[in-house]
Amino acid sequence: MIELEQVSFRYQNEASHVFENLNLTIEQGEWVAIVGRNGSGKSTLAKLLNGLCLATSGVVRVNHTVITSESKHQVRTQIGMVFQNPENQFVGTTVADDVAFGLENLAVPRDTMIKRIDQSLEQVDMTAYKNHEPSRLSGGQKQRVALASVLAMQPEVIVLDEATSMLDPIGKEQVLSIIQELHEQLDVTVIMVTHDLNEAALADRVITLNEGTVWFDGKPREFLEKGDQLHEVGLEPPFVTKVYQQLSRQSITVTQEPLHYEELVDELWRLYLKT
Amino acid sequence: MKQSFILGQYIPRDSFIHRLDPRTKIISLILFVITMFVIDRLFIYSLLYGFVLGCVLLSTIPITYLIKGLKPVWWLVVITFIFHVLFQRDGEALFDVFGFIIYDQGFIQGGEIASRLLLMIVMATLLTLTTPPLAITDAMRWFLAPLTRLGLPINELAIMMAISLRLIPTMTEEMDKISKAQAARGLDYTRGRLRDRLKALLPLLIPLFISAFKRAEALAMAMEARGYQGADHRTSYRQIAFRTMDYIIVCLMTTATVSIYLMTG
Repeated sequence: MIELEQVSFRYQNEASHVFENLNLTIEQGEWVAIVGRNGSGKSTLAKLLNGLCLATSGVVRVNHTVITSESKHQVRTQIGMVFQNPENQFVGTTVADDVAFGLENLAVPRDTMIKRIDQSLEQVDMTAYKNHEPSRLSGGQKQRVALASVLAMQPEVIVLDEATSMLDPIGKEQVLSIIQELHEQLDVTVIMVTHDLNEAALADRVITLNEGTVWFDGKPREFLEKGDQLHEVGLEPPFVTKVYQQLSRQSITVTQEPLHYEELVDELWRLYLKT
Repeated sequence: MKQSFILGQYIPRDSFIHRLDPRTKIISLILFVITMFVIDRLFIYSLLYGFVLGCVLLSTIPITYLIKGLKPVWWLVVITFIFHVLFQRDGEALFDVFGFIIYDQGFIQGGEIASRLLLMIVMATLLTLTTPPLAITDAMRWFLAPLTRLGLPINELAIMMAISLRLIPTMTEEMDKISKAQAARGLDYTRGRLRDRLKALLPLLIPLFISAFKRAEALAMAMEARGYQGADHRTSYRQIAFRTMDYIIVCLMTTATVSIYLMTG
């Protein structure tokens, strides 16, 4: 469980706060998408969760441990993080070495390490690339390795800081489907920072940040219902939402607001069959 | 361009030499170099030539590849030889070429020094051709490990080496991208006087450095997020292991070096 209590944060040498008095609770096993425009503080929020940034005031708690400069190392064993640029988080010379890096840091014995590396590469379907060098992998494959590196450390929470934003559509889809699978199988908490609302619609809960405050916190469907209001916080409603809203404007009602293409297509067929 | 010079490259194979522990190879190389400097008899040179040839054959790396890859070195060897032949003033005068008196010792010493250079470079190249850079790093870490007691950050150095090795292809790619981007803006660093060409390199180097710094920052954050707290108190995934064959090789090499030393001494 992650709790933020009255958290304020300000970067050094900068006058304005990124957050002021932010309160937030994320339960174990939730899948949360954090969305917002550039500069809304969503990446900073992610960094507050594992002590890469420390709150200027207020308290961030992970499983009842308050994050301080002393406790942050311990917290990092529970929170794994995947960053945006696949190239800038690949530490090892080969895939296996990279997955090993985190385990070496935790001083995991070598026998256990070997088992965990195999297991986590299996989970992200990268076993065949175990001895490959990063220069021979695509962006999507590198992100899957980054995910494996995090999984090998067996965290309770996985934070993805725009982890798919530099990937091509296929790579993106593969990474997302792996995350979906992991979330279902392992009951890990997934916190996904993104500006892709299609991606956010996959989550159980959407938190929208705007100018350092929580603008929205709730189910993705309710979030997308806001439609044109999303422009106010610098977000572009996805195509599916736009179609839905055009339909409602024409007084054509469907059973529920579609979240993604599949649901939209279902609704459209239902309409077609009715008429 | 990359293919023209092979010193420092690694060719993955599964040969006897490849399978040896990197420490065995480094120790052998050092012993070999010591031998090179103590010997003064011609017939031992032929032994050493035979030894090097044997090593090359065992490594299954094609000799033509070595010959092509070491092209710049051949020139160095040939020039060293000619230099000695022309300027050596010992021994019997043989004949006269354009005012240079050629002595027999010139041939002998020139041959010795050129051979030393050649054999040493071939052996050192063979080490890097048959050993992954990371394995060499691991071996160096092992050799230097006692120095950690003196407070030298050997483990940190090893990690730095490993990360540098990992980033070489990334940075090469980046350099390529930048040079294309700058060429598209009309930069030409292949023509003109040397001074102009060096000046034209600046627009390549500055973006490269800026991106390297940004990358370093991001990488540091990623390392920290994965629990890195300094290079001590870590376990190691990669292992280098001395096998029976390694013990045998090290013993043989030591014996050979000592006996050659006794023979000549």
